[in-house]
Amino acid sequence: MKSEAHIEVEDIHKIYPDGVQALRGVTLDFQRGEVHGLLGENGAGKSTLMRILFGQIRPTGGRILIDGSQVDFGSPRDAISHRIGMVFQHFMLVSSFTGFQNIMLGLETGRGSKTQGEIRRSATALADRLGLKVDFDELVEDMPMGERQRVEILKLLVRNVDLLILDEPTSALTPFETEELLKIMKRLKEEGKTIVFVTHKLREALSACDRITVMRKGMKVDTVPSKSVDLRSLARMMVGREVLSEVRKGAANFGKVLLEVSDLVAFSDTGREAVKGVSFQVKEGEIFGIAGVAGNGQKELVEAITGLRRAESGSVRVDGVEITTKSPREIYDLGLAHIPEDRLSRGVVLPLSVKDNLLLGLQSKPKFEQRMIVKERAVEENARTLIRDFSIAATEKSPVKSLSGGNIQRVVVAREFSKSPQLIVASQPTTGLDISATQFVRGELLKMRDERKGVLLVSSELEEVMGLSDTVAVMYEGKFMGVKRPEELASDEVGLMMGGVRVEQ
Amino acid sequence: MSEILVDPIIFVSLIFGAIRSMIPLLLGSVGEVTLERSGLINMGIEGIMLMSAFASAYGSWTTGNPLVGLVYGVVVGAGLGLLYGYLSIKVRADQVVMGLGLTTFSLGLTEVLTVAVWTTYGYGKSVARMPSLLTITFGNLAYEVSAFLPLSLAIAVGAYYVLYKTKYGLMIRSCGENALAADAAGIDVPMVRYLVSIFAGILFGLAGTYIAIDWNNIFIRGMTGGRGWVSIALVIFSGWNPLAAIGGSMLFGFFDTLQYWVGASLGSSLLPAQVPRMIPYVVTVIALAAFGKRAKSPAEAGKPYVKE
Amino acid sequence: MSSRLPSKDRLSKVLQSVAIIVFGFIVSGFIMLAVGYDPIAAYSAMFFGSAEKGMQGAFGGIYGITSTLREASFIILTGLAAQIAFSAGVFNVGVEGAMYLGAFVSFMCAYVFSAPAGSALGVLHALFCIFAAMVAGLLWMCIPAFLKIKRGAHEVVTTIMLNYVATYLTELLVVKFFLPTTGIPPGGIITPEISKSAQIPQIDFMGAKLNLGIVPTILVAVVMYIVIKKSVLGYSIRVVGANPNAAKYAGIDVGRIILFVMLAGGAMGGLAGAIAVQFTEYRFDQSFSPGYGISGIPVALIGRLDVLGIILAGVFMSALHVGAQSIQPVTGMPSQISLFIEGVIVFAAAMPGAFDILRTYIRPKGEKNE
Repeated sequence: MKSEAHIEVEDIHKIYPDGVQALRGVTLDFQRGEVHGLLGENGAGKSTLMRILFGQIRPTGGRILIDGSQVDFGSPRDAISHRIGMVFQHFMLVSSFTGFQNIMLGLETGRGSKTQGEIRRSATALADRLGLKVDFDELVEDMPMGERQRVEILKLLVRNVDLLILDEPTSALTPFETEELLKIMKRLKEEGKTIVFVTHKLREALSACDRITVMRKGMKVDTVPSKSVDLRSLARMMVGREVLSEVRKGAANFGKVLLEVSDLVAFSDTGREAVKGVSFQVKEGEIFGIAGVAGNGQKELVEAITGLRRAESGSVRVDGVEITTKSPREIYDLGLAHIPEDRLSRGVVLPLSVKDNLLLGLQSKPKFEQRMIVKERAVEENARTLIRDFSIAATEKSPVKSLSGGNIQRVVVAREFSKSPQLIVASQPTTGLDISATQFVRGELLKMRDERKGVLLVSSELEEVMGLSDTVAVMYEGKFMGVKRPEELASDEVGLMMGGVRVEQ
Repeated sequence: MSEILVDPIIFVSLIFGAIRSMIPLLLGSVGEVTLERSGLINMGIEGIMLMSAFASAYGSWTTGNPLVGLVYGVVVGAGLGLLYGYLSIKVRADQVVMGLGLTTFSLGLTEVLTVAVWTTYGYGKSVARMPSLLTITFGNLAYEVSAFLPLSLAIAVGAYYVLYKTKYGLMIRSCGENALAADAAGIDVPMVRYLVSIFAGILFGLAGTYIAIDWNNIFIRGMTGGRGWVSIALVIFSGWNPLAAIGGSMLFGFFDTLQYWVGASLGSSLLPAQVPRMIPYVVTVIALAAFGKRAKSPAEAGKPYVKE
Repeated sequence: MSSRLPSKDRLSKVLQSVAIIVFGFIVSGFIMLAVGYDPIAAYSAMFFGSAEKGMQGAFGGIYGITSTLREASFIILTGLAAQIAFSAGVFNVGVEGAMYLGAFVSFMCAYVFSAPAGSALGVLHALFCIFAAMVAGLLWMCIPAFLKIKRGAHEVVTTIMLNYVATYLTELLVVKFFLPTTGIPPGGIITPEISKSAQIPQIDFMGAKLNLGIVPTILVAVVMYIVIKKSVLGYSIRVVGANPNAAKYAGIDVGRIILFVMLAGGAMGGLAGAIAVQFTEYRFDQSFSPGYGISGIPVALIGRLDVLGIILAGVFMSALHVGAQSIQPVTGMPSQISLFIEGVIVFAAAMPGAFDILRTYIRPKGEKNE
């Protein structure tokens, strides 16, 4: 091991054009031959930092040094030529190609460099030596996730990559495949490769890594040798002490059960079990929050509840009515409103005006339709009222695409709430919003609660979930790690649960 | 009708006619297959073919040498193909509307230029024709085989080989299947697409040239007759496979040639002239109906690639 | 990050349309120069005619104006047909085919049946023929519509192919049943005259004949306006065109909307065909359309989603076509120059809005777009 660090990042900043500060001056180093864990929740900045290291994103400040000399990457090609490679959480493979074709993709062959046959031979040798079982001639789309990941890794090794960045590598793997991966990482380390292991899973970080850097809110919290920390302290670092912000909440006063989910099982788009038997209830006057790092099944859970995804088994009842076989339309008619996670593609129609967007889904209601004609005046009045009540900074005629993110969300919230729902499902409702919009949305959710509606809040922002919810469940790998009242949860317990450690009490 | 197939002279004439009709379709569809494999769509094939047809006739006219016409036609085709690609990639223009505009624009421009060059309206003067490769005599009839036949077949086979057997084909196809993955693997996606645009344009240019100065020896208004659109349908029909395109264009070519066979507008006792003329279009619609779902289409065809 | 420029809505849209047209004329002017013609002379001949050559151009005299209006009725209809399809995100290029079938059906109904001209029955006859033409156009459109909805077949190619089929089909029928077997008469492929009862007379207007085809056209435009701007159906169409995902979310049946806009376009095409037969030629003439169906696209692109815009753009386009007829005798350039100008306009309309282009060039270099 050299005394000089293999890679150093110095004071890296990244500010996006819309003002969001993803990284606020991060300095770290990676030693040759170590497995370095990068731990943090969503939005901590770990993926952004790695993508900068891989040349996909340009930093707005700071520098990168390889073996002491500064480098500047314009694209992944540059990073790869400096022997840095990254395996993304969502694999960058061409599914209709074979394993070998993907490995070969973009490699120089012909005069001066290796032939196809030579590449195949060296790839096979590498695979054998490191125990990377890959069927070179199988189509990627027929491969299980673990094998696809090995293809990605081989892709990098064939290009003589020294530093491998693995971004949330175990998110798509079965437990067995995860074990295999950890073994592979050990072997790579023995070969002298440096590995950066980006994750939010505490146990894995501890068992696989030599050192762990914890990041939070775009900054480095600390870098510690894994031998000298335990799960609890890592969790505390990841999540921070100031979890509970002061949110004024009225006393809890629950009514009947509005939403009842029993043993719900749902698959992800790739056919894996994303929701593995989840049960809970949301009552009138309650905010039920689901915390957890995104990607642990929350999206699929919400989609199953709102009728956008089929449930494999289990039941979902809204106000007593079984809805697992119903269409979104029918579910909305039962009194459910949905603030969707991807507001731009599903929540609004960008080219249309505010008033037209506020009409979406309601256009056939007698209030707005008379003998097939739109009651324009009713629509405008509705718009003006909602604009006033929800402080939307626009006129009813403004096209929604000219609104800021915060105002767009106000439109979505206004529209959904104007449907007088019984139950509101809010999915990541404050991502990408500025302070005032964030506070506004949170305030509205609380208002609904005070009005004896039920709210299901899904958010990867811990502060939000802990502050707003009456009951909190932490979701990890498709299951609830624990369901408690926020007051009963210490911050490091939450961190533990988010990191995959069930807290027995 | 059975008399036609039984009479050897008519049968052979039909075969040769089918081959003649097949050539532009094959060139057009192979060009478009390659282009769509890289993730772009060109809806202006008809316009590019027509402009190339004119350019080749013009080149042959001014120099008296059809080979010069060939060069003109190919250059115009390549240029327009590149322009279309540039506007699709860089400017992110709407590919369908652009194609329609290009086609209409070509119809108009070629008219104007026809008058400017030959002072006649709707058609030009006879120009020197491409020499034929060889002549086959059958009975007391002579059939010419164009050099474009082996050329287009070779191009189709070559395109198949490159697309499926070489690493360049892999690169091209990756741009069409998953441009993000291609980029992450270090491939310059826009550059690949530009190069393919030029290649496709060359093929379209060859098709237009063939129609003007090989099949015929004159430029006539609208002489491409919808073959550009048929090429697009052929792409789907052949499953984005250049080899299958050979068979497909042969089939379509056969139907296309029937219309010339049945004489003038008044029709014959066998078949009204309009029926065989309709057939290529009807067959195209049927092909689209059968294969419309694009089960195996390159995943990114038509979607502009936005670099994050 | 989406732009925060508040679009000045109507004004900016009008400016963009005007810019596209001006661009078309300028580029065409350059080409004319390059080829050796005088664009100024050409344009003035186009719009104002030339007394010495006896041509009136589009607006140079009463004959020109009535011709422009007559052509406009066709082009506005095809423009409306294209526009309603665009509103739903569908490219309907098949109006030409619907027009031919509509014209033929109108002819058949008008030729085969007859009633005492001018009587109530006669009026009924005329209306029946018009209605039949619209139904024919509508039914014809079912083919590409269902192919798109059920089989995912791209409507541009299917409709263009079907245009060819329709024109050959009508030609076949006319040749087979209405032409002497001795050959095509010098007048071209045309039929005998239709019954008087089905003929809608052209009225005398300042020495020229004014075609009443503009009347049903304006009627249709008004209906379209009400449908698109004011009805719930129109709202649903606009949502589907802008964001099919959100439309599904809002409970809108996307397939039904696509079907509706295409069939409506077919009916409008059929009506245009009836206008050709019953209001203009009083017979079926195979060459009656110099590409009206295709011209509908630039009209819809220029007129945007505004019915008034379509009417104005339709008048402009027809002026372009009518005027182009004057160009040939005056300057020697073929009348197809109008196709060229149209093509450039469509091409220009394909470029994402003028403002967007300017913005990409003004944006500071070095900053990767995130």
